[in-house]
Amino acid sequence: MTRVRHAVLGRLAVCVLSALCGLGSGCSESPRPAPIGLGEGAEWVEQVRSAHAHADAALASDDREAARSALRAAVDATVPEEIRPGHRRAVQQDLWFRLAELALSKQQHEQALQDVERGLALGHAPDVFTANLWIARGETLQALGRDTEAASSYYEALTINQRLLAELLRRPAEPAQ
Amino acid sequence: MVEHDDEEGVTAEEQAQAEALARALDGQASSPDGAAPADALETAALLRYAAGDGELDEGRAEAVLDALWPPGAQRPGDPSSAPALMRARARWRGPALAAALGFAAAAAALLWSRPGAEVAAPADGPQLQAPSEAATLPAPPTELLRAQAAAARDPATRDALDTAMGSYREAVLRRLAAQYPAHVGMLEAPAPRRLP
Repeated sequence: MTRVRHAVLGRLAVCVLSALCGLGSGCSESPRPAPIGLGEGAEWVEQVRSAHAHADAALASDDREAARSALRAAVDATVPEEIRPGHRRAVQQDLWFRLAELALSKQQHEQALQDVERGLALGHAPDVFTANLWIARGETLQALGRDTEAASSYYEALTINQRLLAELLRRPAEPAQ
Repeated sequence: MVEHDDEEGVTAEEQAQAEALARALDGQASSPDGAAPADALETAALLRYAAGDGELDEGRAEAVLDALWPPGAQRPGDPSSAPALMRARARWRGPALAAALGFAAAAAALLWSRPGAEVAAPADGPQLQAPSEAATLPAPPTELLRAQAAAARDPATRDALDTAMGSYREAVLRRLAAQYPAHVGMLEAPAPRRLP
């Protein structure tokens, strides 16, 4: 018990001395490691933006493999904790949508379906990104001959689309410039 | 593509398109120059059907179109001017009808739900995201919603969706970059501080 008390008092003393040094008692102050350059969230956003740009350039030269690699690297990148869940879902769903579209364009329907399902597994929201995945799912299932499931996916997409359109109609108009 | 303000409100063109859709919803003809987009009319027909104010069939759609364009006039987006598109539509007719039935049920459910409510997630699926987070992203422009609706009806129009998504994606990433700003980092560590 006494040993524990001494240990606590020792640590307390160290803390007090450290605080005094910090107030300028002659100790040199080691600078706190400061973030240099982009924050983690900003870096992630920039990485995603760069991946889309690379994919666009690769597709322009009909290099679908390079496009897929760029998008896949972005979707597999670690997402910083500061990124809000809804933003993460939207951005990653968009990447999965592009990956699915790429697979579809190469007639790789099973791959496309996997990409779509991984995107939808991130969450369902009434926004453009989730709706796009439903459309890609519909296209994929239709190509696989699963028409009923395809129709169900299209209806999910149209439901979201209609809702977004209704929201657009409710928005106030901008004042004339 | 029309420049879309991703902050607040809609552009003048979007407002005009929305008003055209509103007129179509009311069953009125478009402006005298007949500028209502065919997509808006189709959407209006679907919405009116969902509200019990119409029927979702080809005859109904034709009637709506006839009311807005004189017989014999070339309608915007008229498939008769694009045989390939016509063939593509015929190929998708079966699934499209099934999708339309599902859509009608969904539209009815949507009308009964309160505004702003989330779309129900599948029982085994993940939960919906909080609307407050979605609200921090730019609203999708009319062009994108129109291209998306077209792609859901006819996959042959997917290129338009890709194009519209490219612009919207840029706007979203710009908004996110603003929300997660770069730290004002110290490129050089400060010199150690010492007492005089």
